[in-house]
Amino acid sequence: MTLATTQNHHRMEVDTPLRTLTLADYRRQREAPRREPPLPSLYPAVPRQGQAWGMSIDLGACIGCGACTVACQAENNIPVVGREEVKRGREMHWIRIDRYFVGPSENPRFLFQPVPCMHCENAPCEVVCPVAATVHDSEGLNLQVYNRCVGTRFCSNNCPYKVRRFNFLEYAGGKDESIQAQRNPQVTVRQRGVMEKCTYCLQRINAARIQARTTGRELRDGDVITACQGACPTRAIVFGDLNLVDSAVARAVSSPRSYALLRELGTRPRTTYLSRVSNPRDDGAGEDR
Amino acid sequence: MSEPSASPANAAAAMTDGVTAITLERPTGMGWMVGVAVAALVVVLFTAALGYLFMTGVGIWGINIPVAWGFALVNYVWWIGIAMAGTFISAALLLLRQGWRSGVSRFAETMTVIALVIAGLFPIMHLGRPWFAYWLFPYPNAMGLWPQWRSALVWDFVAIACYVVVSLMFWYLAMLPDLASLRDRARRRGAQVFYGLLALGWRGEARHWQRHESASRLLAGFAVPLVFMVHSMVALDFSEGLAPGWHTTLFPPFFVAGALFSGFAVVLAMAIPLRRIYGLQDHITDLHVDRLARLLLAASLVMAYSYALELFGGLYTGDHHELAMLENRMTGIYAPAYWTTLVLNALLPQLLWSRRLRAREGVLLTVSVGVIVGMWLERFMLVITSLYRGFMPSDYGTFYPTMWDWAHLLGSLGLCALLFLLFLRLLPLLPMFEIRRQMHEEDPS
Amino acid sequence: MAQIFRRSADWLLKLVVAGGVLAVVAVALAWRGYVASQPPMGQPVKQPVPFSHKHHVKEVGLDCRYCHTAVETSSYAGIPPTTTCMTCHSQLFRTAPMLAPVRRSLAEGRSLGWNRVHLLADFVYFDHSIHLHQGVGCVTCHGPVDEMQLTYRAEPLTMRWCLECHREPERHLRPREHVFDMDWKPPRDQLSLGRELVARYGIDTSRLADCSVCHR
Repeated sequence: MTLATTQNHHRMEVDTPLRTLTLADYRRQREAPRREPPLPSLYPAVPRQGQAWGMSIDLGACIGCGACTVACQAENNIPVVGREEVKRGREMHWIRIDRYFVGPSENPRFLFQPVPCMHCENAPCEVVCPVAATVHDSEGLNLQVYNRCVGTRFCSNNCPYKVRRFNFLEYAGGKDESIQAQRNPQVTVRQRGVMEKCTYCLQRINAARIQARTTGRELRDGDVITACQGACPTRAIVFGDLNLVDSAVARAVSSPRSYALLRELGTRPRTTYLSRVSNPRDDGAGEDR
Repeated sequence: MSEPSASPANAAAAMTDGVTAITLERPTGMGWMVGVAVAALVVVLFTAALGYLFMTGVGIWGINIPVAWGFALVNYVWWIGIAMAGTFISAALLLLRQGWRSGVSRFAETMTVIALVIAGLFPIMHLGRPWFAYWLFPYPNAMGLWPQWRSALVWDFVAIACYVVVSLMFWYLAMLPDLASLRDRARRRGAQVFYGLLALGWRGEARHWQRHESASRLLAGFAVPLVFMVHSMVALDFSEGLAPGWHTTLFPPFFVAGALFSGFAVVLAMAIPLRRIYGLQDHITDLHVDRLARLLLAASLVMAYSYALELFGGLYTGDHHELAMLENRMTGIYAPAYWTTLVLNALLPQLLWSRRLRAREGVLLTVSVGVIVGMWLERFMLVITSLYRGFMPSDYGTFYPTMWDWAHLLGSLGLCALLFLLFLRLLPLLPMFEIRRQMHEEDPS
Repeated sequence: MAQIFRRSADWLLKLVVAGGVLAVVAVALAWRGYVASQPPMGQPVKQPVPFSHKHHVKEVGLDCRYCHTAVETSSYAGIPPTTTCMTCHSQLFRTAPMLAPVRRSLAEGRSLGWNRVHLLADFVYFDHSIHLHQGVGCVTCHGPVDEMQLTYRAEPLTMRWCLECHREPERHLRPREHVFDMDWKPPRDQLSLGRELVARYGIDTSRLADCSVCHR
């Protein structure tokens, strides 16, 4: 009997998507911060005015519990596809926890990395959609417009992070009353043949903005809490406005630990990570298990 | 002095009589009827499989995330490639005034039209919501939206649409004088009306011939750049993407060469049995077959170069994702597809260097069928191996075809067989007017 | 040799081709009619009680918010419960036969079952409160409601129609205080008033046509 898994490969291969630092290295970096120069690009820089939503995920805090995945599923009407479909590789997790084994196979270290949509400023998915179902909005979100999607799936092929999920069959559960009752009315229920992905909880952003507007104030840091952020027990996920002075996410991104996934591709993701810091003894004791 | 294409023993009228007799008088053989019955059955099953696909969704195939494109795209590129050679033979060689092409140009062009019709099905089939496929067409709508012009898929749609229109017109126009010949020689009322309607009142006046000539040249002038444009667009469907193995400027010429390669193979694989069955050795001579074999060999050299260049690109840039992908192609789970492709496309056709082997029909058939299969495997390898192991190791996945993947592939083959068999029975097999003109040019007496 | 076709075949063929073209056009028009949004624009919708906005708004003088109570605070404007009708009709027209369904609804504790006149697709997330806050009047989208004997849809409500205003809101805005005014007329220099309002209300026109504004 085969085990249905969502991840089939656990070694990091040619890249290091999950970066770790020893304490000594981290201290050295903090003293002499080395900022990587910006990558050359033929595209003009995306202007950042108004709100610029971003997310920073602290890999040092993530324990791999998966609460973010479950919260996201509940908030966004994400369907449960069942064992057979998971075996085929069609799970619908908008945020997934990647698990890597590092070190010798007899006794490897386990490292966890939550991967939502990167909301790339130079999103490779946007260029290839023939019907403009995936576009960029002025606040930096990469949007997926379900009602426009015809399902060519080129966007998924072009996403290097593979964060896009496709409704290969009618997963939505039809008219079952218990499922209808569970659904969030603020989020569209997707039909088969439509691509979906993490939206930075756009419904919460819109609700917060309208609320702030109609009561005559500006959006404050902490007004918008994404589902994954709210569920994380270790507060590993920080979300907010990068343009807001001294917002939690702006502070996180300015840390020397901050890095972007697959930076060399030039996608300029808004979702960034903070390297995991460990403090092992010289004989390797005290390393993550 | 080159060998004349048609044996000087046949006078023009006798030639026309002979070829029209194949369509009008030759009794419908048992082989044909069995072939049509089997093909029709396969087409019925194909239609049922299509219905199931539209009712249930593309999840009936083996595709997943990361391998979101599977057999549908492989089949699409394969069929479009097969379509190319027909246009090349009938249009490009027309413009280059290569008279020898007339033996094979009719059924090569028919192969193009049939392959195009089938190829056009797959992009619609592979859509998640195919009932909205028309959104790729720029029509004024209540949403105030247009297609997204930067996407290669939109231009692919435009290219295919143009190609279908031009190919159909070119094919039909070229058949008009021959349909008129059939109409004039038909003895049964049914045949007279059928070919009479299709011939659109062609009377063979000097004006008609003049217009026919200029219209043919015009359409050929459209068709030739279209051939290159269409397959370059199909290539850009992949090279616009950043997946390792796709994102290379080699793709457009590589795909064009591959298309011509598979198309020539199909034409060759059909020419050999057809001339035997219908006794067309006078028109599809050993020269034709030899020339087609040489075209096949030339294309295989370009393919071999392309395979080498793909390797070179990875090694030269040292990009570790590209190198990992190349290593995976050669040693991973789909390695058999890669190596079989190399053998069938780059190695086996080298047998055609030998004049002795080029003259043997068995060798030619084996090589062509090998190329046809090899080209499908090459498309498979291109699509799948770049997707199943991408940039993120946590996303590595696999693609296993389901019975519905095979059903739609085999169904498309059945549809092709049915349409081609109908062509063989109902439409003129050779471009008689071109052969007559050639015979006159060679021997004005 | 004898002609295969009679002379009449010529115009018969042309007739068939013309018929084919007409058939295609007819199918296209039929499809357009089939997918057109319901109810059709300008056609009053049948309701359980022939409620007249003209009588209640123009003649009686009710403000929109008397019945559509949530419009300033919620995405949904709200259809009034039967008790709102009964605030007056427990005193006036107490036995009128036209109001029998209202009384029955109160007695049985069941809603009247009004039929939607303005219905957007499920994937369109429209918010009333922000529109009112930014200076879009009720009549701008709903038409001259105070003139409607029976309620009908006065505007197409297509995406293209919405985008027209979202791309150039200065053409349609009015001061916040006049949002519920039925007789406010746009001034001759609507554009300059509009631009001033856009600036005053802090409307970022560069982002109003983002897909995320309406679609999630």
